[in-house]
Amino acid sequence: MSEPRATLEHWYEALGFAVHRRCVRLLGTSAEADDALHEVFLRAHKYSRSLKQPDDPLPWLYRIADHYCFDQIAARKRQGTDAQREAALKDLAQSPAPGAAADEIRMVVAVLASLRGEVRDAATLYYVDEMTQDEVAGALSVSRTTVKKYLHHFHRAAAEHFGLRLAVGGET
Amino acid sequence: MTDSQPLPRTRQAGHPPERELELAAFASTCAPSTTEHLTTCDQCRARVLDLEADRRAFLTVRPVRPFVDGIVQKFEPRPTESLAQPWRTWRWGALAAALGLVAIVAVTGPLHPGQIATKGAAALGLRVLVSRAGAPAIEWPEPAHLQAGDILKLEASVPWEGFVYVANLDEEGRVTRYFPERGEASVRVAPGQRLLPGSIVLDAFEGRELIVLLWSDRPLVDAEVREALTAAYRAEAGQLDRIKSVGLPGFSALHLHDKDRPRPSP
Repeated sequence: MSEPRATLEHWYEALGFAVHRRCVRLLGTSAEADDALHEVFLRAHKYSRSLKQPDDPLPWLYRIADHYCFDQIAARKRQGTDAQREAALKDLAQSPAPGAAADEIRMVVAVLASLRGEVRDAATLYYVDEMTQDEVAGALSVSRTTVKKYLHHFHRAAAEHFGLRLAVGGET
Repeated sequence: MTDSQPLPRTRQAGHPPERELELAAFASTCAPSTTEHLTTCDQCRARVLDLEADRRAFLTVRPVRPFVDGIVQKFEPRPTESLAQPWRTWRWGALAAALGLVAIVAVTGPLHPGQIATKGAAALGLRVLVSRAGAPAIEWPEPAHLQAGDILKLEASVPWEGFVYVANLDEEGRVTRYFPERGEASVRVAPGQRLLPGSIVLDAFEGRELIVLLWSDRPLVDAEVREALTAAYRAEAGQLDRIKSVGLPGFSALHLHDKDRPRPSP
């Protein structure tokens, strides 16, 4: 068995489920996550030489998955194929249903898809991964003040996107 | 979500985030504080064990070898890749234009179940992958019949950027759209080979069915596809194996299969 193939098998066996789970969370359906899983491992196979910590590929795979899923969501919006979903989310933002956590994550993901760089990374760790600001700061090797600044940018984007203002909260 | 209200969080106070538990379950590279927490927290240890059990269940439905085969094969040279060269693209494009972009019949004689007939463009392809009872999706061995409840995934090979639509025509002349899942017209697809989004759960219809993949250089809308497939069905008196062309602009690939009632387990 070739080395790249053996590596790919090992990654998929150990981490494929985690990647699929994340894609379901971002894209909303298992069918879309199946396609995303395939694409994530295609990219991982293609760019495996760029992996800086071969012993710890999961955060890297998560980043590939995040990029792919956010790009898909942004593309749907550009093509107008997501118009109904987008309109439904805007309605929801105006009159929220209690306990609709799945819809709220859809809203956050829709905003994240419109962003790039550190702001998106920080907001993803904070809202999708439910990390505290201190944990986000540690994961990104920045100060907590910088994390607060990134989240502030994210909230501004959320306000523009859905006309609402998110508070920084949920510290554990 | 109301103004100024934080997102509801599933993370419980005093426990690590789910991402850390995933790292503990799958990668053993979680933070030292998480490792320490797991030594004292029964709830989080149980969660890690649940994740590990879910991972094993996931792999029984999506096993390693076929998945990795699918990835590795994408990087192997393919004989049809030469069609993507610009001059070949131009040549086929010119041919299509000269023919008024009407599908060409490239096969003769009746279509057999499981046979893929490609019309007009040699590099246009359709693979039908079938998953039964939770097993991984595979190309179905013919002449075994499909059954209600089987889950289909469609893989399209598209030679040039264009619009793709996939529909099913059954023996009674009913047309069901398979792709795209939403909207009212075919959607733009980049050249290459890919699994189409979504999957199809077969209904209880028994008999012969024809899956039709249509490629065109402009969007095809539902109504014209339904009309064309219905006309083709009538023209061949309902004999799906005799349908070779659907009279729409562009090219098509057809897949014929038989479907019957699931047999009770012995």
